[in-house]
Amino acid sequence: MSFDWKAFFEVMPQLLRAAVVTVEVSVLSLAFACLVAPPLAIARMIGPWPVRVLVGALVEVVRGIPPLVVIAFVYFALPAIGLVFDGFWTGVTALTVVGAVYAVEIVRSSIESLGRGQREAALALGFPLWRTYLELLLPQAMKRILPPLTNELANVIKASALLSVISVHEISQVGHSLIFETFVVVEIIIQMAILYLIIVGCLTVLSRALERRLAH
Amino acid sequence: MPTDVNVAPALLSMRGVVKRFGAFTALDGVELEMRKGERLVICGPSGSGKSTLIRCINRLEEPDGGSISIEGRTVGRGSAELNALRRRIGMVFQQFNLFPHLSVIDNITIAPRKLLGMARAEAEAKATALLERVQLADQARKLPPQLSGGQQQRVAIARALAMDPVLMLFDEPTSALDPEMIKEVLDVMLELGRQGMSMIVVTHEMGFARRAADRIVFMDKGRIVATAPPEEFFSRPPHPRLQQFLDNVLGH
Repeated sequence: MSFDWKAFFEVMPQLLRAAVVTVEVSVLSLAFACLVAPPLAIARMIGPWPVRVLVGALVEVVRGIPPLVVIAFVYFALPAIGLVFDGFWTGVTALTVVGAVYAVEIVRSSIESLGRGQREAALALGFPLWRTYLELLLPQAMKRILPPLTNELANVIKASALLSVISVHEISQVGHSLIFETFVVVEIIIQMAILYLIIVGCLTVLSRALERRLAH
Repeated sequence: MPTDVNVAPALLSMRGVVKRFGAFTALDGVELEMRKGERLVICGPSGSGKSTLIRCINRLEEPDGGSISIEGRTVGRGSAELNALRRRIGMVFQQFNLFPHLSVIDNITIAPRKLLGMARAEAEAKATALLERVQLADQARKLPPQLSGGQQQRVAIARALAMDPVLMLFDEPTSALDPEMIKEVLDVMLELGRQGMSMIVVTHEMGFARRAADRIVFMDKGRIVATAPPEEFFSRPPHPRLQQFLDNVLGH
């Protein structure tokens, strides 16, 4: 069996279009997740107790179920409360939730590892508690947050493959369709893998650059 | 310019202050009066409640009983009141607790800028003057981990002074320092006291207490058992437990 380069290049335009969708879903989900995670983490640490319980419960529940189930839940539950999204935005919502809960735990544990001296120094200067966390502890914890967060965000990108079940035309969905249409298997799977590697690779490069900037 | 402490108004008044940690009573009815411009040194064996006492003053610890008033006002539990109180009280910690991700000058300017809304230029001019006062004018752009312990502690003093506190609290400021660096920190504190800053210093440095304190407070088991001016404190210890403590501290 030889590698069918002709088929490889023939499916490429369609897979590249699908890759654009994967990138869009991923970038939006990761951006939203990174945006909501710090306030949620801080709320989980120092919020009023009902907020702490609520955020804690959300984190434990979402962490305890497979991303596929989260996607299905958002797909069926949101219309039930009157929010009708297409597959794309359903996917973004679900992946944001998945990414955010892991990010919340990473942010929380990183801030807690700073030790109480930092917190006390800020409080003694007169910083309100929430500003202490947001303006002094969070920036300081960034160095510890970034490596594990990159790992988690890479998992979210890979979880976007699951959006094929709700017919989002991302890499996995389009790839599988192409396989059934053309019966070209290995070439398409290899190309899908390469595309994921490139996307996750971009995230890694970005994160390394950020880490270097934070290092000094 | 030494302040005449006998006519200066009351700065701090602690009445029957109690603090418990579980079954352990850290402060057992502390009574303490302090006037503006006064320099107090608190000493005593470990576990006697010295640190807890000053941490109750800026409410890093919430007392379980009694009352504390600053400049005649008792501060409630509301967070806005608490933050306003802390802005007027500077604190220096044993472990310095500088913000390691901020340069020396940013460590000093962050509170005036973010809490008082001071413009950057003004805050930096003030910070520069403070750094000169603690003899670190040339270190402004460095990060704390690049400094020695003694230098870090002097930056921490400047950081606290940047908020123009009415009272400075020092929690064993030299206990984490190499012997050679203790002097440079104590010199800064001595100078601060000479300039009229009201301060409470928890320390085992008896030489500093002798030179800098208006009164020395001796604590044991959560109580203040003796208070006396340095001369009397060392020559005629007013309490048997203090005599024993001094024998141990000054014994070698």
